[in-house]
Amino acid sequence: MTDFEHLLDALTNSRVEFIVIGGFAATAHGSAHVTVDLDIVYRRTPQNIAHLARALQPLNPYLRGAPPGLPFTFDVETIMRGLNFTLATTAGDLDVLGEATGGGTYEALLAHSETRELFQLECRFVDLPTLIHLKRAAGRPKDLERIAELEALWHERREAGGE
Amino acid sequence: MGESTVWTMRRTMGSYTRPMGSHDATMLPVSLDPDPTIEAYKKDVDRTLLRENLRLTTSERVNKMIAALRFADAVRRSRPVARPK
Repeated sequence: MTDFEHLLDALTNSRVEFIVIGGFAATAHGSAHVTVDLDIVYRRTPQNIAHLARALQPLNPYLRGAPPGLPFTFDVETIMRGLNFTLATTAGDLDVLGEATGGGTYEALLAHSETRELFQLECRFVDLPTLIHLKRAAGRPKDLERIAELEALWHERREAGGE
Repeated sequence: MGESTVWTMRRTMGSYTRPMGSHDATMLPVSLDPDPTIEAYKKDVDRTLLRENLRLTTSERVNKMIAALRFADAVRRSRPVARPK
């Protein structure tokens, strides 16, 4: 089972600039669904990539679903050459995205994010309307039910006067 | 694993690379118009759960989800108990 606190702690303590998206962000906003992994969009600057590599190195990141034994090392060079990585770590599954579908780079999402306190950490989450936007942009049939819930949540939140 | 395989992997990964410094600060336009399929799903959303969650803090929401995950994990690991004959 994914240890969300461990993952967020590792990223935050290494000063990685990232924004939480996906199902975990939906939970933070009040979704009743459960999620089994953590999805983040990271800032693609050389310094932040170095921080990201250092943060995850103790968690033995490996490509999720890949056969064992591949010469994969989640280091600065690998991150520079790639963009989006679906990883399995010793703390659970982690999707590390340079860009989410729909144009969601760190820079694009930053203005549509908010800081929330969680596990005594300050983490940046994508806001609810943008999360809906990203889910719609992904266009996956499996997300339709989730989008319906998020839109209902958005409606309920506005009815309640927002957070 | 041969050198060529490593090279192929790197080449594949490299094809998805956004060059440094080309940070696109705009998001692609997506229609947020009502979608009939989404609207159909919306009718079945349990809004009482959402209202309950909206009264919680972020930490409480996450802890509630993690508790549900732990419960599901325990159920998944459970084994039938042999019945006495």
